[in-house]
Amino acid sequence: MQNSYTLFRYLLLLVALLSACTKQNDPALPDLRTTQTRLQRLSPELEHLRQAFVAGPYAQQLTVTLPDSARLSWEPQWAQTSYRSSQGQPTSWYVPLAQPAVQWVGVRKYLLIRQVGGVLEFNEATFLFDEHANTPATASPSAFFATFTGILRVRNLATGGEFPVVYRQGRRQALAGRAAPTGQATAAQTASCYTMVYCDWTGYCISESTVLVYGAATAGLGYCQSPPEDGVGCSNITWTLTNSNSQTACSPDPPYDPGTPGDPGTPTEPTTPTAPVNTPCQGMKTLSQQTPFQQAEATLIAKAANPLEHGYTYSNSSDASSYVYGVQNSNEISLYLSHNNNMEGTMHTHPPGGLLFFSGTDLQSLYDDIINNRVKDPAAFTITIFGANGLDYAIRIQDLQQFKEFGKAWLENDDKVRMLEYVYYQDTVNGIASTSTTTATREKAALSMLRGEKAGLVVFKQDRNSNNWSQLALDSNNSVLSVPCP
Amino acid sequence: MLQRFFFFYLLCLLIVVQGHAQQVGKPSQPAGTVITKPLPEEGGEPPAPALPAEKFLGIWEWRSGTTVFRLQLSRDPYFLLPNGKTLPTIVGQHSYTRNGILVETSLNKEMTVLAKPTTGNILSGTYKELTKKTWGWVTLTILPTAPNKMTFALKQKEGAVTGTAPIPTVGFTVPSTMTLTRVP
Repeated sequence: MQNSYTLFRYLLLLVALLSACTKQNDPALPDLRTTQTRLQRLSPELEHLRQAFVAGPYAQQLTVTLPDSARLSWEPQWAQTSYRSSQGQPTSWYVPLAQPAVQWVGVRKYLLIRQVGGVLEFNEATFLFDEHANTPATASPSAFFATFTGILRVRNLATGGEFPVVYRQGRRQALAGRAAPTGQATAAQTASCYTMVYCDWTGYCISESTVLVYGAATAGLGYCQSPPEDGVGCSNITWTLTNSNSQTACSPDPPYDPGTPGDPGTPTEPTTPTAPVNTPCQGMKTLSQQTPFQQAEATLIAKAANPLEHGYTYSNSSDASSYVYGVQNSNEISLYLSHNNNMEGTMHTHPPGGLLFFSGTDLQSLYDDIINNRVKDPAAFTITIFGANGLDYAIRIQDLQQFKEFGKAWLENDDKVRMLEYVYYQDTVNGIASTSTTTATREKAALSMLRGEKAGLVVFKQDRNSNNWSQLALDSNNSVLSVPCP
Repeated sequence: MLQRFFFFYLLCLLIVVQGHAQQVGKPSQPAGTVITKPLPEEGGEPPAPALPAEKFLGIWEWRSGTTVFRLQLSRDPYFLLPNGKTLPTIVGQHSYTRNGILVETSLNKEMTVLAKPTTGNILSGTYKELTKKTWGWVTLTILPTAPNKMTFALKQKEGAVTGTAPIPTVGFTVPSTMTLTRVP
């Protein structure tokens, strides 16, 4: 009996040891010794910030949800904090957030802490960017943000309120327009409102028996596209939307300048706004206000009832002499527009009974012009149609790389264009060429095609009564959203 | 009593050790970047829906003296699209003989008709013009009173063409409208 009791005690000890080993090896549990060592290095100021963060309900807001509902936490890297000061006193801090279980693409996340009237305010600052168009994310924060081009999304962790800030080459961009006075729902205020849609994505890269997990976030005016399938070193990545929300903002400027992070322990310089960013929508509005463009438009609208197509190309939208009238093909409802190696845009009619949107051949011509370098500036190049039924649309390129990939897939030759129209245009209820449905349904079909195929194009529509152009997009409910060009 | 407790505890201990041994026995993964998941089983792709197009399938013909247009329609449940996806499609190949001389044929070469049913008796889609190297729209309509007769109607595509290419050719090599008869 005594031996049995001694053996029992040894076994009990063994169980305790095994349990301890199991806990230490569990990656889900923090290594308390490392954490303590790291905390001991924090300055009293950072320790004060850390304690205020831990005491509040902020950490639970900083999570990412995977498609299988698993939730992972973003962890503040306090030792990497940079700060911004005023008169020698820190007023805001940027604490990098890390989530090492997921490889992040085009996303940098920080905890932005501000001191507002003696009270600490905690915000989640998410920088969204195109990896190809920015300094490599492995560069130091100062080098990266010196040329940062993308969108900063600032979300107050206490109130949930948020606002976007646009950066180009490291400089904050002032959005065009001015908000109307608070409480007065004027037309100007409505016109200056815009809806930003934010999407969080999880990508699974399947390789033999393992799955690499990637994370990404995208944002856009009216809708957001899925992240690129290339650029992550995985040829077979599948992105899944894990979260999305839309925010409508009517103020042209952010409520405060959030600045950008700097190197750890160093103060950062405030970023000054520069000239308004020329968005495709603003470019469309500017183009539509050019007198020669309006004259050509008036000519085409007058001819829109003709059974044949009519059109122009132009190399300088503000110079009437650069507008070249197209050559009609007498039998086919197709138009051969004069060649111009320095084009700024094309415009043509769609006759009665014709398509109410751009045809696949119209998009093919755009692709041909781009890849054959016939256009002056792809970002400003515009194709416009004026319909006999009073519907006018324009298309501009928002993402050149995406458009080239879309074109390579669908517009490279007649066979591919034929399949594009077969799949998306047929005169069926949900087809772009449908003659038996509403304008909104056809627009939705067209926008769905462009979004689903990641065409990199933006669509505009004119209100002939006011001569104003609006950008069309699908909102999170797949309804057509019309945002007036500012 | 103590012995019973001891054996019960030993059993529990074995279960714990077994679980621990399984954890240790897993191959190590790079820290924090790889998550192992079971892959979906192969062959799990659901079958493509069959298009309700039986009445269109088969060989159809139009004759005018020694001029013959022949169209062969079949079903491709996995027609491959340029984006890598598949779409159930009615596909067709044709041949055209004028005055006894073969003008063009896509038989055993490529699909010149891609179509899907729009309503009960109508199949619509695209038609590839082989000789002029362009394409247009095709509508095939089975006559309600004569199921072995089907009208074949072609329509030009639309679009503005830019660049240095010659002005697009117009019209079709084959007649734009025909009434085909099913070949038994």
